[in-house]
Amino acid sequence: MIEDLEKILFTEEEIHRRIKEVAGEISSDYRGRDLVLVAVLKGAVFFMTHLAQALSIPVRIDFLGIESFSPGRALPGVVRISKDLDIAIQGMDVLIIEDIVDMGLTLRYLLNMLQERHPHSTAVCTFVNKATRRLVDIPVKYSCFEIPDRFVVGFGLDYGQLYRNLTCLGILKKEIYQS
Amino acid sequence: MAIITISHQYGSGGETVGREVAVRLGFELITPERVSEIISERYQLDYSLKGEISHTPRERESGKLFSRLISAVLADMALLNHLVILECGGQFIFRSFPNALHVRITAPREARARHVMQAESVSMEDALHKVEKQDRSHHRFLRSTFRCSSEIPEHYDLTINTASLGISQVTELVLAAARAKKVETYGMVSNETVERLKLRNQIRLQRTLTTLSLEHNPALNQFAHPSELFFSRLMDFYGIRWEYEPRTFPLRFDEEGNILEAFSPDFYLPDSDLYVELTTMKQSLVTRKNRKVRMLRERYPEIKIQLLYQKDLEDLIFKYTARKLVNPGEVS
Repeated sequence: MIEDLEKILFTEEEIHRRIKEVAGEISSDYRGRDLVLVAVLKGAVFFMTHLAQALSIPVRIDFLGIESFSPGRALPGVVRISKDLDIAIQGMDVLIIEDIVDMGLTLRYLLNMLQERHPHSTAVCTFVNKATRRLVDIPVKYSCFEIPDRFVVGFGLDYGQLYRNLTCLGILKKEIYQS
Repeated sequence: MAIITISHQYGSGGETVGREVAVRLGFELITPERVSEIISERYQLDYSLKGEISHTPRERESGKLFSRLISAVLADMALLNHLVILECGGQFIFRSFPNALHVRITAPREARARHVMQAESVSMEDALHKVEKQDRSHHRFLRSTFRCSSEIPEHYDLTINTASLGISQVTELVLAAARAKKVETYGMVSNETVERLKLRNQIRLQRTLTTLSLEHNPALNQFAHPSELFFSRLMDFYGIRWEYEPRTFPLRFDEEGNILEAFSPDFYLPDSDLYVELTTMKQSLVTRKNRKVRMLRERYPEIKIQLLYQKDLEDLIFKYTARKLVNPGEVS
């Protein structure tokens, strides 16, 4: 599996160290508050698990599932919620946990949707951030890694649902996704 | 995904042979009627595989798109089952698939007419007329959809003349060829390969369907390319305001100050104060647009512009799509 990578961007050790740093910031910022971590399935699950365990404050966790659907042939690519939150977030501090923030369209959709439920606050924490690809402004409060505009996999990030279980983060070889 | 394609002349008995081969091997039989049914049921598109010749460039373009659609549908079915494909241009679609067996079943015109005469209780004259008509129709379908003729021997591994052979003998010959080529053995592919092919096929199918459905959409007139309409609809869904080509940026001037080259990015997103330029799959266009975007950034450093590649649009479409072919209009 690792041989399919052109380059390792961050090793397992580097990832764990950085997550601990970000977890420290979050623990400090949200101490004494009612925090719920909301992971977007499936990619964010790996990051969520490590992050939650590194926090020094008690938190709730929940999951959001998204799926693409086509309301008509002319418009594939829009999304809807396939698994909603189990927790009522009204009055709570919500931290959306993402594996990657790229163009930002889906996250904007999620933020708008969650905002309607009147949480005390919403913020975004992403494992990797591709700020250079952004189409809409997204308030990313915490980001573990800024990455170049390359095809990355590992630690939850996939290509065709594969490679999520890589413990490092790396650039996928071109011949894999162009074959 | 073992594949045997059988192309046959009308009245040569090829269809019966195909059915027999499918039964003997336990493969799924795919006929033109079945493919038309799938296209109609799944994608609400009316397209007969006995299509008429195309005249206008737009009709020719449709033919090309339908050949892609047929390819994607057949490739999708091949991922699920071993197939015997009767007609449908299977010999062209799976031409580069190394272990497919391509068979052509033929017979002299008079022999085929005699067969039609007996099978359909018509006169020899009517049978001859029917044979010629079917040959022309089949030729037109292949030409308009695949730009190919079925008469080129190099397209086939095996060509059989049924004039002096019975159906069972021809069937045995096809089965022997399938065994010799180890069609079934090499048709076994790893799950990983199947997953990759599924993904690629899904992208190809969705792209074809999107283009087809946009082709006759009046809203397209506003835009230069279907992908632009697609992008505008996406922005609408996500509640993001957009303007289409609102500003032209001069890029080069001559000595007298006349504009030599200018650039109008496709979209402006006022909320992000960002221009967006879409690119297609054509590498020559991508290179040209990359150059224009670079020039714009150099000349107008305060302007934010994002170049979206075909892959970016595909990511938007497929990031959360389940790993199966999704029928448009149906929830994945």
